Amino acid sequence: MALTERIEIGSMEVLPMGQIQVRTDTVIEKDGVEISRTYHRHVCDPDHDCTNEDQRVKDVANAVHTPAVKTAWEEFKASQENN
Amino acid sequence: MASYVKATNFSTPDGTGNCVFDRPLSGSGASLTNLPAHTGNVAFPATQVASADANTLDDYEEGVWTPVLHAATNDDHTMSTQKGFYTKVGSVVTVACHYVHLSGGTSSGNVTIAGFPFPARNITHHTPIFNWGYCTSASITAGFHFSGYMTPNASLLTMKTWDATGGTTTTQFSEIPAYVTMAFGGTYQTNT
Repeated sequence: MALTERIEIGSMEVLPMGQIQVRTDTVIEKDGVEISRTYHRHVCDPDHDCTNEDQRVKDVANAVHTPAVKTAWEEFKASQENN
Repeated sequence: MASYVKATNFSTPDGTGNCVFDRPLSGSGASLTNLPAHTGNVAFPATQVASADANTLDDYEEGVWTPVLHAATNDDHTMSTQKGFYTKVGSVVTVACHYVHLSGGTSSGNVTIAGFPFPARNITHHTPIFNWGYCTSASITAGFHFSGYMTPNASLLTMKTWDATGGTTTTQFSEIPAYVTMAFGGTYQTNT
């Protein structure tokens, strides 16, 4: 019997303002058959530091978080202050 | 003996991930407990099949998240325990969090908490409220307490301290010195 654990990006969704909604799955397998899958979630906003993100998330962030998206995000945040 | 809702009462799977009920969920003939009598479970797909219909339940998920406390200036403090849990039912997300602050470094200014599993719903004045149920070692006067709210469309909470005549001020990092332990939670809507 062999138990293995792997961590994978289970889901990435890009939201309208450029946030990347990431689900990281921890998968446990017994003899190659999945017996457990648990989720960790976080959101990468356009001003998020993606240095420590999975390469796939970095690739998406590099494509999505353009200067225009970042500017729009900063303007949005400013508009929400003291809301 | 287990009873089952007749196939005419609902259709599943229908190719969209949705169950469609055409009878009341209580009373004669149908109830939610009839549905999964063979397994005891109602399963949703791992990837949500979002519905815009106000009467359709389209998602269930539970998992963990990592709360990250930020200071407006420097932000070089360290944390020792960052545990967050969430359950999402439809568009409603309930989170609970336990956080232990290790040292303050040179951090200062307004305090925010990031890392939430889903952004808050993007609608003006949707500012979900969070309550602190437990806190030790904070630098606040007896009788004051922490709370917070999420910014619409963001996965970010702004901490507030109930310390002013008439209401709150934004929590300052100086109020959260080393070894502060706190637990907080709340419920909010997300976009899907």
